Amino acid sequence: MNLEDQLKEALRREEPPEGFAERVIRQAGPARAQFREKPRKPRFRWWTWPAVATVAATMAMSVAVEYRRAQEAEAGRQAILAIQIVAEELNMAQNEVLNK
Amino acid sequence: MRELLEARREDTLAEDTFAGLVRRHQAMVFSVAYSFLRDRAAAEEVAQDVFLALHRALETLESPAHVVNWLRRVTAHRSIDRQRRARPLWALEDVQEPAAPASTGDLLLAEALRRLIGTLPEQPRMVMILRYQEDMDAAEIGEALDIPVGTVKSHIQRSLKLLREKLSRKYGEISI
Repeated sequence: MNLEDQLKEALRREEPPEGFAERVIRQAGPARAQFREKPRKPRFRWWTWPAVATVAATMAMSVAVEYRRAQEAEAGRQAILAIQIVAEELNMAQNEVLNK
Repeated sequence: MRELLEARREDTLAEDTFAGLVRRHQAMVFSVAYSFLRDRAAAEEVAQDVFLALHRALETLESPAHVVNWLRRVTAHRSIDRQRRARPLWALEDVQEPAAPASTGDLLLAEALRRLIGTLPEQPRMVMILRYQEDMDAAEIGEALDIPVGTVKSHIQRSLKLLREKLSRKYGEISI
């Protein structure tokens, strides 16, 4: 047997005195302490971030399309208003000519 | 099958309680302290102190492996603290070789080894105990004692060399 084996043999664990565990448990008190229960963290899978990015991009595109539509509708309304104003002025001018 | 699983789960829970942990690790904690201090009463006090500290700290520990590392670390530090309060240090070089005659066999050789280890300075002594009693590697010992791995290896090599020299003088050549 070499020195390292002899050291392992010489340093084998020894049992503590009789009743040691019970004395410690009694002294520690009645609480049945246990490991901390770790709060469950939300689990993220590999596809979570690509999915979040896709949803965000889709929502952004929808907002952009809606905004563009609203702008076009407003432009249409303003064009019609302008035509109405011009038509009205033309009518007034025509009436003036006819009344002279 | 389901009953077996339930029983197994209950056993695991029981072992995770403080009482279960004391019963499972008492020999380890007591032995580290006893090998270091060479005094059963002092080792029992240290071990009791360590387990009471465990009881207070249990909610901060997350797994059985974490508990084992915590116990080894705290036992090592508290044993060293206890030694510092108790008596002055001896250097291995200053210690007389064991008086046992060479023909008395392994039991006396083991006792001689324990006595020689007990005379090592604090840090190398605890390194040798954690290495050869707890079978920890250099990295684990370094982590437990807050010292670099290189220092751990150096303590082991130097202590082995000194022990071999001391024993060789009494018991003849020892192969490594």
